[in-house]
Amino acid sequence: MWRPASHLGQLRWHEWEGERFLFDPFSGQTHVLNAMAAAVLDLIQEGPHSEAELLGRLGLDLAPAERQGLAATLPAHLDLLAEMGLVLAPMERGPDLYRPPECHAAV
Amino acid sequence: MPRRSLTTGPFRIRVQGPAALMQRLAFFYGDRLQGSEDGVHDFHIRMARVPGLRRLLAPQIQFHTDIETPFQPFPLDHAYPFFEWGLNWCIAMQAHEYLLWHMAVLARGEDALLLPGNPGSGKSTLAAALMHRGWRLLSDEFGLYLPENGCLCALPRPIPLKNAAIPALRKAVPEAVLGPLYPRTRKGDVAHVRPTAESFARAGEPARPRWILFPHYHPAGGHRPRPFPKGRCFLGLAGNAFNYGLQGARGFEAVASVVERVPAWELDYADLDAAVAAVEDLTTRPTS
Repeated sequence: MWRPASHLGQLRWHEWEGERFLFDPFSGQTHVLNAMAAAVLDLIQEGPHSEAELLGRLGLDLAPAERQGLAATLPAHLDLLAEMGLVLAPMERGPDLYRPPECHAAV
Repeated sequence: MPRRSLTTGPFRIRVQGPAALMQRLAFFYGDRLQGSEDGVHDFHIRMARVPGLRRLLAPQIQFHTDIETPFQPFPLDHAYPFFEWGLNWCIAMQAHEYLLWHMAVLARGEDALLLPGNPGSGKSTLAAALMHRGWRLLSDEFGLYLPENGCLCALPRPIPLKNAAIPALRKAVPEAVLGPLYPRTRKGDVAHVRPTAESFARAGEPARPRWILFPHYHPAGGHRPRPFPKGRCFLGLAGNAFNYGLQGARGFEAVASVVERVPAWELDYADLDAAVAAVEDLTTRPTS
């Protein structure tokens, strides 16, 4: 399951022209997310989701061809969010992308 | 070596250096350069000739602060631009109560026009022209923004022009007062434009961001301002702040607040008169 980083609620953000500009007080970094990455982050912030669950919720209103496109790009979005330290990857993805929440909170 | 006290904007600088440097500072800053060096200063700068045999063939000058000597020496006859660049360094390293934008800022009344841009974008040249066309110079090189009151502080200092911008300004604004040409500096040929009397006289008056214009000098410039999307404006302003990374959430919210409130444009220009006219048109439009 993809899970939210423990400090996700402390992020500051603004949106312009469909992009989300967010500041992470833990890392001091400013990130820019496109609309899809922002939607993925919002869902994970609600609670842990598997990739299939995310695909199901994000693709509810999409045509079949659009769902295929979403399925192709979703892993990249998830990996990027994990690299930013905003979400925690499933344990089976390996130690590079998985960090327990308590460790992350101490960074 | 003579010692003086230089006051510009919120900063007071204690400066010690050769008499020729003091004369140049007096030419550009007028009575902001004082003989008395008493009291508290923000920066302590000493410009001293480099000793050794080399001084006989190619004399050099070194920039010292009270705590360090951050640069390699410059040729002695480049002492003045060296002082100004060194002062830039002092401000960029220490004045973190401000969000320090890399931009020129002009003001009309309390309304500020922000001209952010990378080196070579033509912001200083355009600022120098506007300063002689009804605007006062708030600052060049730095925009000193205080997030707590949403104002930009004035820091009137000579505007350094480089290479082709020098004859371009002389042609467009013959009344501009320029200092001597410093050829072949590390940034090319450089000459400084003296701030207008109004810019100095109103140096105690801050201004609020009212317009943002990203200028780009381009030989095929169309001189028509184009609306600049807020997201790109955010990246432009955050990326142009020397100390954005140090400011943390304060810097992020400050930039976001300005982007949210202030309309932004970009302008390609090749001709200074046409660019000034475009700015005039843009800034006199009725507010929608």
